[in-house]
Amino acid sequence: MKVRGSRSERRRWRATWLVALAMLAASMLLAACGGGDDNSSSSSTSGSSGKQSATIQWWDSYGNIPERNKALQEVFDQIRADTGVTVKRTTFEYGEFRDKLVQAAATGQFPDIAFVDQGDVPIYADQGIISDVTDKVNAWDGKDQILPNILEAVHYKDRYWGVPFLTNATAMFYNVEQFRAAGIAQPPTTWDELSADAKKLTRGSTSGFCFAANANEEGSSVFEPFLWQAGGDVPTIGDQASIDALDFVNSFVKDGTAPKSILSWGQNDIANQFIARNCSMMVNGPWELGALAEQARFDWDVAPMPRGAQAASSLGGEQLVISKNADMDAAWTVAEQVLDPAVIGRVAISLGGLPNRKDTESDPAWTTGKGRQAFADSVQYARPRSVYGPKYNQISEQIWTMVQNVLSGTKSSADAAKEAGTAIQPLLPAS
Amino acid sequence: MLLHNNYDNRYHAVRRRLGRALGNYLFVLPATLFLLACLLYPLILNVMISFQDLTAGTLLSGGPWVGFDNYRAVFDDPGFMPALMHSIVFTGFSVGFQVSIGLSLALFYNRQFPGNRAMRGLFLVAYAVPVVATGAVFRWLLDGQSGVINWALRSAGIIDTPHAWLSEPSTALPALIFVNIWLGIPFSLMVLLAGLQGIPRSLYEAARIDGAGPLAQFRYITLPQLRPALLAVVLLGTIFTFKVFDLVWITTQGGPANATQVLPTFAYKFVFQQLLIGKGAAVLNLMFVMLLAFSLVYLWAARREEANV
Repeated sequence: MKVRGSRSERRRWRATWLVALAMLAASMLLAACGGGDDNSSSSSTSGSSGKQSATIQWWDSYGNIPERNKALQEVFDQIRADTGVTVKRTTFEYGEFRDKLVQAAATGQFPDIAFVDQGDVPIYADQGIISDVTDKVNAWDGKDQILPNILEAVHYKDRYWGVPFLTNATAMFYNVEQFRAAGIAQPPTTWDELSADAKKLTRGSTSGFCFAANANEEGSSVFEPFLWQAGGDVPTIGDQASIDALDFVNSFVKDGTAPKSILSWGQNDIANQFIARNCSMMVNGPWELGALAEQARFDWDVAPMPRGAQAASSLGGEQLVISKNADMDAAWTVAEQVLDPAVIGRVAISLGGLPNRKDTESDPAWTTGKGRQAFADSVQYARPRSVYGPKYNQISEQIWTMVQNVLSGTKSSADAAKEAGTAIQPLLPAS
Repeated sequence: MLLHNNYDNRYHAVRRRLGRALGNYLFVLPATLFLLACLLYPLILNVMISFQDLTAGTLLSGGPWVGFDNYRAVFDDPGFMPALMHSIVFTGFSVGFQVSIGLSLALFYNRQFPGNRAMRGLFLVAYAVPVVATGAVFRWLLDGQSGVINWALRSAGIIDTPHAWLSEPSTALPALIFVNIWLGIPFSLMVLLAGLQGIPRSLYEAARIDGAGPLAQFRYITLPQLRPALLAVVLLGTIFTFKVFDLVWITTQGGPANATQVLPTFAYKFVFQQLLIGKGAAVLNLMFVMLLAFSLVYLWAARREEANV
C-alpha cells in the first residue's frame, strides 16, 4: 500500500473519514425518524367541522382575467353570505398546474377543490387523493342535465369521482382564403376529401394539413380521434383499424402535405403556424379561438373533423374534484353553487368551453362566435380518455411513441402498432 | 515561561490543543449542518424512497417496502438502456467538444489584442441566459419549416432541402449536442483561461531558449500546467451535462420516438407523469452512483498522474 506521508497527514485522513461517517450516520438517523412519520395531514385549513367557519382551498388553472375573477368572486361572496363557507382561490399557469397538483398530493396539501384534467381523474381516484362523490352527484339535480358521454368521464369503477366543469373537444380549423384560392368550396367531410384537399392546398411554404404529433399527451390526444374514426380503439391497438389510422396519418407526412416538424410541435405551435399562414388546415381546440380572433389576419372558420368509418373527436376539459381530506359538506356546498350553468358560462365560455349540458346546448351564449357551433356539434361524438383507467399516462406514452415511430419512418405502421398494443395490454384497467 | 511541575505543563498543553480543536470544529459546524440538511438528508431519503413502492398519495404516509423491485423494473424497462446510451453519448460528445473548443478559445484570448476583454465578456452573456430561454430559442432556430439555421445552411449551399433537425430521430440528439456545446463553451473558456493566465511566462521563455517550437511548448508546458484546470472542467462539465434536464425537456421532451430520451427526463416521466415515485427515485439513484463512480475513478487517475509527475 502506498505510503501516504507524514503522520499528521494520516491522522487528517482518518479524521476526515470519521467525520464523513458521523455525518452519514446522523443523516440516516434523521431520515429514518423523519421519513417514517405516519401522518395523513389534513389539507384544508378548516379548523372546525361546522359550516360556519370552514375555508375551502380552490385551485384552478384559469388565470387572472378580470372578468373571470369577478365572476368567481361574486359566487364566492354569495356562498359566504348564504352558508358562511369561505373560498380561497389560487390560480396557476396551465403548463405547471399538473406538476403542482402532483406535488400537493405528495405532500398532503391537495386542495379541497381542484379542477383537474379529465384524463387524470382515475389516477387521483386510484391513489386515494380525491373523494368518491357518488352520493352527492346522484342527489344533485344537475346530474340528468349533463350529457351522458361527458358524465362518463368522471365515472370510474362504478363510482363518480368528480363533476364535469369545463368541456371542450377538437375540430378542424381551416383558412377560408386559401381554400378559395385553391378552388375548394367546402371543407372536407371524409378522409378521402381531407387527403385530396390537403394536396391541393400545399404550395410553397404552406402545408395543407397540420396536427400536433409531439412527444406528450397532446400528440396522443390528436391521434386518438383518427384511431376512433377508423373504427378502432385504444385497447385494441395492433388491429387493422389502428394500422389504417396510422397509415392515414402518415400519408400526410409522406405526401408532404404535413411538415415533418409536427413531431416537435404542440397545439400552440400548430396554432401559431396556422396564424402565420403556414398551415391551411389544423386540428385544434376551442382554446385557440381567442388567439385566432386576435391575431389571424385572414378569414378562417371551423368545421367538424372529417369522418373515417365514423365521426369522432377528443373530449377534453377539466373536472371539479374534491380532496379526500376535505370537509365534504362545505366543499359540496361550494361545488353546487359553482356548477350552476350560468356560473360555468361566465368562466368557461371565454376559455373556449363548450356546452356540456342539455340546457346549455341550445343556449346561444355558448354557440355565438366564429366556429363555436362546429365545436359544440363535435361534443356529441367526443370521447373521453379517462375510460382507459388510472394508467392512462403510460398508455398515452405508448401511443405517442407509436405515432412518432411511424411518422419519422423508424418503424412500419404494423410493427409500431403491434409493439404498442402489446405494451398497452397490461396497462388497461382490470375490468 | 516556568510552570509549577510537569503535570501542570502537560495539562495546560492538552487543554490548549483541545480548545483549539474545539474552536476549529465550531467553525466547521455551520457548513456541516448545511451539508447534512441540504445534501445528505435528501440523498438518504431518496435512497429509502427507491426501495419503497410509493405513489403521490402515499409519499408522506409511507408505502410498502419492495426491496430491489423498483431497480429491477427500471432495468427491465425497454427505455432504460437507450436512455443510458443517449446520456453517455450526449455527455461524452458535449464535454469533449466543449473542452477542446474552450481550450482553443482560451489560448486565443490569452493573447493581447484590442477588444479582447469585450469579446470575452460577450461569452459570459451567452452563459448567463437561462437554459430555458436558450432551449426555446434553439427549438425555433432548428425548426424544419421556419428555422433560421436551415436558411443559413441553404444559403451557404451546405444543404439543399430544409431539414427538420429536432423532428428526425437521427438528427435530434446531434442537434441537441450542438446546442449543449454552444451552452457549455463559456464555462470551459473561463476556467481554462484562468488556468492559462496562471502559468508563469518564465517557463515559456526557458523553453524558447531551449529551442522548443509552439507545438512543443503547448505539449510540454501548457498542458501539464493546465492539468488542475482541465481536471475541474472535465469533471464538473461531465457531472453537469449528465444531469441536464431542462434543455432536453424544452426542446424535444425526449422525443421524437425517444431519440433524445436521457436519464433525467426518463426519471421525470416516472415521477410526474406516471406518479411512480419509487421507480423515478431508483433511476436517479443509479445516476448518482454512476456519477460518483466516475468522479472517484477520475480523481484517482488524476492523483496518480500527479504523483508520477
